[in-house]
Amino acid sequence: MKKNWESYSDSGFKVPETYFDTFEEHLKENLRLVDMAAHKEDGFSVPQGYFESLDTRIKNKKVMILWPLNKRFITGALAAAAAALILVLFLWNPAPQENTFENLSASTLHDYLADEGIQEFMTEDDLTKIEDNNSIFQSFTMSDDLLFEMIDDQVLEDELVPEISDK
Amino acid sequence: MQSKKDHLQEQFNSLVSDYKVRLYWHIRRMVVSHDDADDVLQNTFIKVFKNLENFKGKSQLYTWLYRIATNESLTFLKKKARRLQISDEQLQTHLTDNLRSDPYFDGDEVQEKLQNAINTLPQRQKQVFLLKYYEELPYNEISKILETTEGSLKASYHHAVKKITKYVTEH
Repeated sequence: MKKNWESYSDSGFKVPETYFDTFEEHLKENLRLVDMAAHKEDGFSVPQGYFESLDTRIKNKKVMILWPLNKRFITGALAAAAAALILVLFLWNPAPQENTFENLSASTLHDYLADEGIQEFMTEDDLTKIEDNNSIFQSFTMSDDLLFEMIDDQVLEDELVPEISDK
Repeated sequence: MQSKKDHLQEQFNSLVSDYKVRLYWHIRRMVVSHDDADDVLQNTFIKVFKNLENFKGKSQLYTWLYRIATNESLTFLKKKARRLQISDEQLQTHLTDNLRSDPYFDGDEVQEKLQNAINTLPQRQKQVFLLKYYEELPYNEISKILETTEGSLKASYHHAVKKITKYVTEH
């Protein structure tokens, strides 16, 4: 027996009066929404053939126009950076003072004189002057005996013996 | 000359027109409420529309449609149970409780009792019973829809009938 589906409600269930008459209409709306969601339609469009020709247009783009601008920019930036570096070094690290004995510290001089064996030939007065930061070469006086002791014997022989024998 | 897209659209329109009522009732008995049945029927046809191009015709068209409708209904019921934070069994009781207040149900006492009895069945037995008793589909077609053996279906239907008879006589 073929069922009469349209009036098939023998189980007590009902449907709104025009439900089946308007079903297709509602379904069409839903399908359109589903389609829109699938394609994320937002009203924007692109010129015909835009994506097909995009690769070619990118490849044909003249990049030379941009290079001189970049080069100028890079050169300028480098020059500015170098100038700033020089300025900073000049201000931060001024020319060192001239090394003079007056600038040397007393302990440096003491160390030097001791290392070279000179200190033992100096008087107490000379050492005191060094500690008072006075130039030893301004006040240092060396006796003849000391001078002779410091000069190598061979040098004395080479320089003085001929002179004596000439006389 | 008619394009493939137009042909599919025409086929779909004809299919909706032919099967909307049958599928509606099949879904309605599973989900009970009209609004829920409407949602599931819409989703069923949307799925059909998306897959119509891939339908190979290996099974009969209505078998394929019923299978989609059944699966959509089951998915819907599972989601509903999850949304209400209740078990599948508790959902069946929930559907029964709401039947009396449903504006789209005007069944008499016997019909109401039958619906309540059906809603006490486990999901698989319920599906078999609805397809056999209301849709009057042969077992071989039901086995294609539910993707199970005919022997298993017969056993399920037998158990379902026994449980319903017991429920109706006891209430």
